[in-house]
Amino acid sequence: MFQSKLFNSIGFIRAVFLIAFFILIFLASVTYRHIKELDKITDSITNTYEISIELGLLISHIKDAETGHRGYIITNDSLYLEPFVYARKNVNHSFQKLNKITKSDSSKQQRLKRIYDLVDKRFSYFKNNFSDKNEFNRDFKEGKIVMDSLRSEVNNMLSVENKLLNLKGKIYKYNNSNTPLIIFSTFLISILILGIGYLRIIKNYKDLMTQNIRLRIFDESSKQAEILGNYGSWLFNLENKDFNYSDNKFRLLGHEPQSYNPNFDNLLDNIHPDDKEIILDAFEHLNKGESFPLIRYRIIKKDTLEVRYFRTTAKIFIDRLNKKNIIGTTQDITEDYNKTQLIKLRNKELEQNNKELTEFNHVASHDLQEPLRKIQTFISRIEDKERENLSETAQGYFVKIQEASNRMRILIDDLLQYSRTNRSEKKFEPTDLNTVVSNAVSELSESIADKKAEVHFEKLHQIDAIPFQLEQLFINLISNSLKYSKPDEAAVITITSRRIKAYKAPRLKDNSKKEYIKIVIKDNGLGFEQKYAKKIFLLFNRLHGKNEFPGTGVGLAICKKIVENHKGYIFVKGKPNEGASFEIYLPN
Amino acid sequence: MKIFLKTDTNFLIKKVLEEKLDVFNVKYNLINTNEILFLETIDTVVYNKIATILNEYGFEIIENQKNIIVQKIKETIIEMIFNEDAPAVKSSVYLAEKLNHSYGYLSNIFSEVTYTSIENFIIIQKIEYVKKLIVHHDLTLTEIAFKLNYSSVAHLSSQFKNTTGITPSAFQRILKKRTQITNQNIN
Amino acid sequence: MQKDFILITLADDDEDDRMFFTEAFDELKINTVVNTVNDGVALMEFLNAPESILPNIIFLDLNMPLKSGMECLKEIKENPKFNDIVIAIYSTSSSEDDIENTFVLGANIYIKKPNHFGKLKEVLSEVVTLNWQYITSGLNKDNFLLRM
Repeated sequence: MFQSKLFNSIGFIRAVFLIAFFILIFLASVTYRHIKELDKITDSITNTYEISIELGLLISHIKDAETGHRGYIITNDSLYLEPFVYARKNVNHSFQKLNKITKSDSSKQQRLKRIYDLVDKRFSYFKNNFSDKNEFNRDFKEGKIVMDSLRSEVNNMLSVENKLLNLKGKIYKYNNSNTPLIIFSTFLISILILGIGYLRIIKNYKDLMTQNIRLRIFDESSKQAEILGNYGSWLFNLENKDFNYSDNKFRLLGHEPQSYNPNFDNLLDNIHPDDKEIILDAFEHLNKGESFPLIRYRIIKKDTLEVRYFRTTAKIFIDRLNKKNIIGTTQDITEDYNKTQLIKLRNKELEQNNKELTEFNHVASHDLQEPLRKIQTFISRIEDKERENLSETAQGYFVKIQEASNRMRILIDDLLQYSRTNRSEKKFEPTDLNTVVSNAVSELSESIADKKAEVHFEKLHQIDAIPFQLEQLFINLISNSLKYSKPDEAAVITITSRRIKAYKAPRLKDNSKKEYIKIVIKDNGLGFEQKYAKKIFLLFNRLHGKNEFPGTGVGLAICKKIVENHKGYIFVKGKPNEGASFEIYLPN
Repeated sequence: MKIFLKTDTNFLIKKVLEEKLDVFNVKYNLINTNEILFLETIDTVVYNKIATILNEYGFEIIENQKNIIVQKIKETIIEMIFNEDAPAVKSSVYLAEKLNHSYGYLSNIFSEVTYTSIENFIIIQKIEYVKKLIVHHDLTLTEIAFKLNYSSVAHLSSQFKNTTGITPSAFQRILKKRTQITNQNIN
Repeated sequence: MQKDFILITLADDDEDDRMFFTEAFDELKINTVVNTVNDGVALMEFLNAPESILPNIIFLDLNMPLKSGMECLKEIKENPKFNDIVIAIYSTSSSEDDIENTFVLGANIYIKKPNHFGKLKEVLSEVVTLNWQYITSGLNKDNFLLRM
């Protein structure tokens, strides 16, 4: 059946029944009319037949009278006068009847009158005493003529009645043939409409039943959900200021479900005294016609007297009767709150710990510098003034001491650098990479000149970053490239940058449209095996012995830390003897 | 209360010299702030008196010929750097022309007297000018590099850094912070 | 203003550093007169003493007991009597922020203590010569900034 609202509405059902009702009325009236017609016709028929019969009787009676009269005249026996006497009575009787029957019809009455007159006339000729034979012949003849006229008149009337009868019969037949058809078809139609209405009603009823079942299930699962989710729902009627709490709302407050009537007076009973304002304020918003804000507050549970943290949100809901209601949900977020507090505490501890460790690193590195500096300065003094006074072996040892202390100094410098990347305030500012790289190149100008190296860069981008950290990053990477350059080939270092969206860089494993700046530092040095690509960034990790290349294994770890500080990523590609290419992705 | 002064040293020097020399009632011409042409002969006593008075005001009579040349070299260099309209010629050429000596000769004397080279002095003076421009005129580094005939800002920055050990932007920053502090102290 | 001698004062609590300093100047062929003090309090006492001849350059260590280098720096800059003195911070720290801070507070020179004696001599020589040039060329001392 069509699903439109039209067929589902009450209006439709009403219309159907109204139509059926009217059809029935129509049917009833048609039927009534036809029955009435039928009555009329049968009446007419009866009427006609009665007239015919009575007229017949009339003639017969007159004939009886005639016969009696004739008998008497012939025999002069008064026995034959009996029928004559009765005949007059019967004739009057018949006339009375006929009169009655034809009362309504004036033309018939006229005919009847004529017949009555003729009958009268005929009877006037029934004389017992005749003066002479001529009078007798004359009376007989007259009598016969009257009788003929009477007969023809009666026949007329009869034939008229017969014609009428035929006509009425035809009409009757005609009506008869239509009536059943009409009745039947209207009956069918109304049955049809009733059928449709019935089916509709049944369907609606079934739907209502299923909805009802669903609602019941829904209600049940909602109740369970409330218990599981630790929340309760409530309804606030703005007209009569009545509250409706779900079962679980009662439980949340520490009461038995539906144990009391919630209203505005007892609304604040369980609320923590310091937070009562929050609730009142929220309802004030409603009064002002604003929306109900999301509020957080504490309650004191009635049964356990413990403090719980609640969160409530609500929305205005206008029902079908155009009445304003507030539908609200209240959730017990104590668990979450406690967990969050715990996490905050832990975070604080971790941060504190981290800070202490970084401080320690910094102080240690810094304080270690002092004695080392002294050692190295005194070493240089001995070298300047006293070296000749040392024995050969001592001189050899002395060189080792110098080398070792040099390495120590580099290590401490690197550790200090490492701690500095963690320690400082992470202040981001718009940084021009071109400036950063040229500063780095400036710092390394001596080494670059020594190695006759070239550093190419141009049109680098600008990003928000910590400038001194980026400078350190480039210093470390460039000096790395310088350190591992081929001994027989001048080092060429190229630095480029471009914008790239995250989903286009598969290494980032990020499918979003987030924009990064990709910086590539490529050199033509000795390279390395790609399988060490991740190890290279580990703290203190080195791919060569300290006698092959100087280094502490801290430089690249610092680079990684700096890139991480900027929430970026660093990768390296290398091939033995074909140089290395560092790729840095920094979010823009 | 603090007030800021703009000084015209040339004017000051001339005024002092005039004031002091006038006392001695000798005819003289102030050729510029460090050259006095006495229009009459002066005896030693007067000369010594003049010398003493001038000493009190920090004026030293240059005896030495070499010192004179060095002084001239310095002046020429300063003029060359601070004069914006001067054509961009090599400093060696400019000096040789201006002072009518070979550059090698000038260079030797300069090093002997001052213990540094002419080039070094030029660089120092240039950087001084750069500092002045940064502090007083609020020019950008690009503008300054152009004004002083550096091939690029990078070149200027690296020379600045090599000479002073800090970058011009750091210098700018430091000076700015210094004035902020002095303003705070006034308030 | 003394013409031929350059008066230098060092304030440093470390006796080895004081020794390096004076020995370096001994070996340099510049006409200098060097005196040292052991801490900030001694320095200020020396400077404020009426009979003291003010030095041309003060070398100031930052980490000193009783009164730190920073405190001394502030005090010196506050006193107009000391306006002509060039102040060189002579320290072990290499924190960029600290270094810049000393310049902002009025220091002219920042020297990170080198770890090689030869380097120390170079640095000190450079400082003194540059300073001399500044003075003889009448350059603006307020703009005199040097970092080694």
